[in-house]
Amino acid sequence: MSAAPARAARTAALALCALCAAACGGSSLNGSASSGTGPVAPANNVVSVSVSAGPSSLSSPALNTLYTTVTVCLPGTTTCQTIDNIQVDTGSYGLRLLAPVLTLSLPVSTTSTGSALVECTEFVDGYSWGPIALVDVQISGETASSVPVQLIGDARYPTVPADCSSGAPASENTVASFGANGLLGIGPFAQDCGSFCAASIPEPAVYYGCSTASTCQSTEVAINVQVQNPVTLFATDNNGSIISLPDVSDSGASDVAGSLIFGVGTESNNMLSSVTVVPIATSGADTGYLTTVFNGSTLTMSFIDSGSNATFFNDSSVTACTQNGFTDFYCPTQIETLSASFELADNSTSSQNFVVASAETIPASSTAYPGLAGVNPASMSFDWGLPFFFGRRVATVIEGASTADGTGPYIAF
Amino acid sequence: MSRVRLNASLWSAALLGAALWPCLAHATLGEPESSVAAEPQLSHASIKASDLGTYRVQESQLPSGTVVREYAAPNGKIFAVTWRGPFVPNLRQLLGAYFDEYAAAPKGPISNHHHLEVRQPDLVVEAGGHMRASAGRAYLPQAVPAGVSVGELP
Repeated sequence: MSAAPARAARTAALALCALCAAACGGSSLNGSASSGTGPVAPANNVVSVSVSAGPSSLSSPALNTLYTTVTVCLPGTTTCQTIDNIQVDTGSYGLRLLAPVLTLSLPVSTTSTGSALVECTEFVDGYSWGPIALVDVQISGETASSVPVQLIGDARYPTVPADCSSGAPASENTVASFGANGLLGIGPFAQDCGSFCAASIPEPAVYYGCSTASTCQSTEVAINVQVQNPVTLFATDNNGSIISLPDVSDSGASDVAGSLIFGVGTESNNMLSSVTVVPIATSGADTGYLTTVFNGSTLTMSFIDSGSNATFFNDSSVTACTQNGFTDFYCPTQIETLSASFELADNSTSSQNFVVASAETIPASSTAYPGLAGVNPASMSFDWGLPFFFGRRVATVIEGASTADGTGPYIAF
Repeated sequence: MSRVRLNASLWSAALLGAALWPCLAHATLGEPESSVAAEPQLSHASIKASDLGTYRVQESQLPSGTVVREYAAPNGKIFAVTWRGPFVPNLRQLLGAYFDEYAAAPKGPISNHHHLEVRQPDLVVEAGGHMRASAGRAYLPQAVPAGVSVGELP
């Protein structure tokens, strides 16, 4: 099937999104009594998550990092593997698995010209290289068939192209360097690259066709062949997800348990009450971002991201840390409560408090620490990382997906 | 020394005519702003520049949509680069001779996939963002002109 009609449909949906968000933003989605935070009752669309130390092979325990468990199967079979310590990330799109923990033998996907399809994922702190394969994904009772996922650090493709290693400082192709057994990207977009990579090749490139294990050429890749946000491929509850975490004491906590609930407003357990809908830009220079107002500045490159481990903002009045390695973090002598606002679709704002505590005095036993905060490297950005999720139910609605509160992409809480 | 003289002459030429600006391509951290690292993918970059007194900023939009800004001190040396956009730029080209130092430097203990700080005596790289949205800056602390705050670079 030609991709053009799908693209046109999506464009129309995105156009509608603006109208709908404007009409519905800020309204209430009153549901059942299940609006508390923290773990919810077991159900077909609920999987446990935990802010925990992560895989034992990490050189130091993970901090403010959310993990869950995912089952993957050879497509169409009951040959499956359940993998724990998969990081839950609303700041990326698609499932990535560390090949060294995989026991399944998965065939590699091919390009339209028959080469092996291999991806370079540029994270901020490292690049991950590995082929694309199809798996059936099972999370809680939700299933998605033949989902393109990335197998990071696959020994079949050991040679990282030079331009892949030019976008980040170091390779993250092992569990220890990656920090997890995999990454479950359930952010507000449906693919990891989208229409750009279907028609063009960025530099450094995202997708490559490899004719041998070490001969790879960057390539365009059709949207439906790219790594897909698996939520969009679930048979039901596929418009987004909700992360529900309990409140965490300012002094920190270890192994904080919560739930990842699939669907938004699709079941009795995924309703949001008194919801604040924060729209995400779908065009222009700020695509993918929402807007936060802080200290009088309108920060149009802001985001809410379970995969960021701190609150990253700029305020020179907050004392910076001085220890080596911590100088981009804040170290107030006493915990400070600050406030910032989200800009909503109707141009009103919603104010939210957040805490800032010393990054140099985190108790060693803590895997969750609400006050971890640091400098944001972009002057127009406010990054609401995992601390924002503590004590909240945060919904991430995917681009083009319909809900009673409007069409995605948006974040609601 | 010859580099300084060469750069000074180009500096004057640049000031003489705005028509020259489209000819200036992408420079590299620590290099004279005229270094124009030969980057074929930048041949379609749109470039604009302005003179803000204590430094000059040159902005390029890469074909990927990412915007790169380079900040030149009055002596012509690029003391900072910033980027924002859907894809990280090629940092090996943008950081030039400093890329290897950036790649080898220890990451901060709280770095993660969406945030990074590299802080060396002569090089600072800070980056953040999420998939499909990258932003960051790199600068040479000892080359920042007096009175310029890197955190406030536009």
